[in-house]
Amino acid sequence: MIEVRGLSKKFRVHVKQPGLRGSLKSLIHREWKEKEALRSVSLEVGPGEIVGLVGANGAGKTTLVKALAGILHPTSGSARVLGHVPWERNDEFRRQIALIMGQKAQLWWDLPAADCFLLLREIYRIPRARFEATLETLVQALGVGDQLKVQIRRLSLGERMKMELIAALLHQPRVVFLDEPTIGLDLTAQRSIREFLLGYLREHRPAMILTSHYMEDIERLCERIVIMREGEFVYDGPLSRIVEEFARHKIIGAELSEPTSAEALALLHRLGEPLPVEGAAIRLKVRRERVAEAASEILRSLGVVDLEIEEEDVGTIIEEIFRKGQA
Amino acid sequence: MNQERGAWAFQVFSMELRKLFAYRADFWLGFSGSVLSTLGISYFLWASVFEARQASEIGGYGFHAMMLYYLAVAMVTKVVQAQEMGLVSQEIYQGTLNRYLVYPVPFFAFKFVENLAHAALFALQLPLALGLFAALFGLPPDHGVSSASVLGGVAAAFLACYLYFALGVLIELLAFWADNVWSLLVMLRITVSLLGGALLPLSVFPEELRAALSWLPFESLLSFPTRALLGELGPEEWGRHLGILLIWSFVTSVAIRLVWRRGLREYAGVGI
Amino acid sequence: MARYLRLYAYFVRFSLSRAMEFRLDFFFRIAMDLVYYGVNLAFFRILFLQTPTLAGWDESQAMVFVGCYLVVDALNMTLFSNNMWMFPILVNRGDLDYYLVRPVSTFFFVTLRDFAVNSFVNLVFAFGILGWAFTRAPGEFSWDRYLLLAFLLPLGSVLYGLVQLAFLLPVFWNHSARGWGGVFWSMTKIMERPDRIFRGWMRAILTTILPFALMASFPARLFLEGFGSELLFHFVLVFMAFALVLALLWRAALRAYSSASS
Repeated sequence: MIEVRGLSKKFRVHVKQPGLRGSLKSLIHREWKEKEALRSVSLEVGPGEIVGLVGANGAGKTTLVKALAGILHPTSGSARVLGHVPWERNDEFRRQIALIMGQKAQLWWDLPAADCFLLLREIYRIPRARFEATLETLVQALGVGDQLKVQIRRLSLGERMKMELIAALLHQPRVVFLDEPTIGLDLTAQRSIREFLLGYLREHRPAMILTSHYMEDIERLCERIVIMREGEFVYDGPLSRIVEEFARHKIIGAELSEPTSAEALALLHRLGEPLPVEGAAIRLKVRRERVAEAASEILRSLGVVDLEIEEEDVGTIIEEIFRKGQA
Repeated sequence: MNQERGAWAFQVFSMELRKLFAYRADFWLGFSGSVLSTLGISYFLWASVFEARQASEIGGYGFHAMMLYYLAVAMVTKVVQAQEMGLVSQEIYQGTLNRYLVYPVPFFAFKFVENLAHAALFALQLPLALGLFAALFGLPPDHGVSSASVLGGVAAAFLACYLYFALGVLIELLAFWADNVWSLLVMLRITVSLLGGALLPLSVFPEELRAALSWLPFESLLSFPTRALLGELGPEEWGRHLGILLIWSFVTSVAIRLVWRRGLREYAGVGI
Repeated sequence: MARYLRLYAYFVRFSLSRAMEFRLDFFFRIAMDLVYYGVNLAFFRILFLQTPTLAGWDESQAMVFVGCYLVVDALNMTLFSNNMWMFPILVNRGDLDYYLVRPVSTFFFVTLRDFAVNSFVNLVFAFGILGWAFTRAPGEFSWDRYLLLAFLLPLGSVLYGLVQLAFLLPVFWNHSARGWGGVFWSMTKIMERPDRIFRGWMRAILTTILPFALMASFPARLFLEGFGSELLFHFVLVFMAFALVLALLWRAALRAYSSASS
């Protein structure tokens, strides 16, 4: 449903020196710097698939989403979404996609959501019966029935985001772009939105691309992730393979019979990187190839009550990849 | 202590100037656009009036002097109105007022210094514009323009700038209670432009109207600095207008204080 | 077409419910326009103390012209002005994104979304002034002149909106519309003066590429002085040319928007 080939995007940014002198200078002459937001990226997404797009700020996530939604014109490369070139923005294409940006509201601030939905019905030419049925289902699933008649600006951030989701899904889009849909929400709201999205995905099988700063979102929702760094894909594959491919460390956790001594600490530092922990216990980050050696050393030298060896946390690995390029 | 006081004001002033420069093209466009169009429209309007009337002088001005008046009043209006809009109300609506309330600097002084940066920039253009006019078209016969009159006019414009600022602030403080005060500011501006003599020199107004306006601040806001600039005023009129400006500035400032105190009590700090 | 009318009906309804909520602002804005009308009437009243005629019109005829431009202004305020005000903000904040992904003309959405109910009320006053001016103007006016005026004034208003939008489009390239927007505002005064005071090359410019002098003046002249096919042709031609140029500019602007933002 989404096919991207060698998509690149460059744009110019204006550089200004600080201070009054810089301002005066830029009055006469402006300096520009070229920035590559996307460097020849390729991607395919099929129906029912949700791809998590992660990366640091400025890695190019939003640029990619905007290009696929037709808002941005790329510098080179090609893309097809549902068979259409997105940036030609023909009605047929626009009727079948949805874009949700957590940082920008699409609903009209001073109106109740119900009114906005009526307008959207007209915009997307949704037959009345289907509109009512879809609305009912979505409202039920998100549990916002009581808030439909309340002005958007009087809703909480979480309720507002739920309304935004409904607004975006009313026309049953076949491709959905979600840019930071849970940003700024509390944990409960985040969780209920995640659950809702999973259910929606199972039932309607749209292709979805999701960007998020919250690893939790990605881990819960996406089986496949794409990690971006400086406009490039560093990884594109199943979430589950991240650990095999990128985890260079394991964590050895142990409960001890007595608190760690200075000597024991010195030993740990020699074996790996001790992580902070409370009480008579240790947590040690060890390179994979040295796990066996380290474990036996610990068992031999310290009074171990219980010992376990765990994989590193996926979120941590991913974050390390997009910071440094590898874990 | 004194040095520190000067320091914040200078920083605010310079920061505001920097903001103006950041939108370089905007600034020059907006400025020259408004002066040129005022002047251009007045030129064609009065040319046709002078022709229809077959007169060499209207309201005490010959055609040439009339054009100089319009240039001067357009420039003076810029200085007096300076930043003009949304000085305080935006802070109230967006709930950013708190930020200023914790600064160890009086809020209105802060805002006025910002406003002064705009006024100063416009005031700098004033002699240039007059010079350009003189170079291109010459000055009219029996003109009273001198470096002293220009200095006096600019000084008068800065006094008027304070009063206009204070009137604007007083209106904007209504933002504590009203949803939007922008329209009230527009009313102030268009009223001042007519009654202050920016649309037509006050000398063409009917006598009764002028008499009715004589104790109101409008004439002193625009017409006074303009005519001072052009060297048309004697000490008597100077004295009268200075008096009006001072009295009105004082009254308005007191009113601001009162309204501000009541408003702050109203202000939840989160905007409205 | 019917769909767009239905969409517009929603816009009007939404704007209405919002206006009713900010009631004080609503009345302030009505008062603001009334002050504006008063200042304009006073301006011409005082000017005519100095001269018997202006651009071939006596005071009572000039008042018909004043009524005309107040109606053009009020129509523009009702339909476009709030949208124009929002427009640069929409572009700069990136809120245009949402309009771009909808299967509806972005242009339609952006230019007509907000209907200014307060100015709609002011239309009554503007028409009132025009009606009062009709009764004082010398001569009898046949019904076809009224009809022509009823057709031309809205056209003048749309032209006003198109020109304003043309001045705002630089926001797509400079990210600020304050400069050109300011130039537009200063130039709107030209619409408020009879076109015949402008002479020579200035007249040529103001009746063609910057057509401020014909938005209200031409309709007023056609009404006061009878049908002139040349004047009408000029007006319609400029209108169509402007609409065409703006359509092209709009495309270029959207293209720039989609190439520049990140």
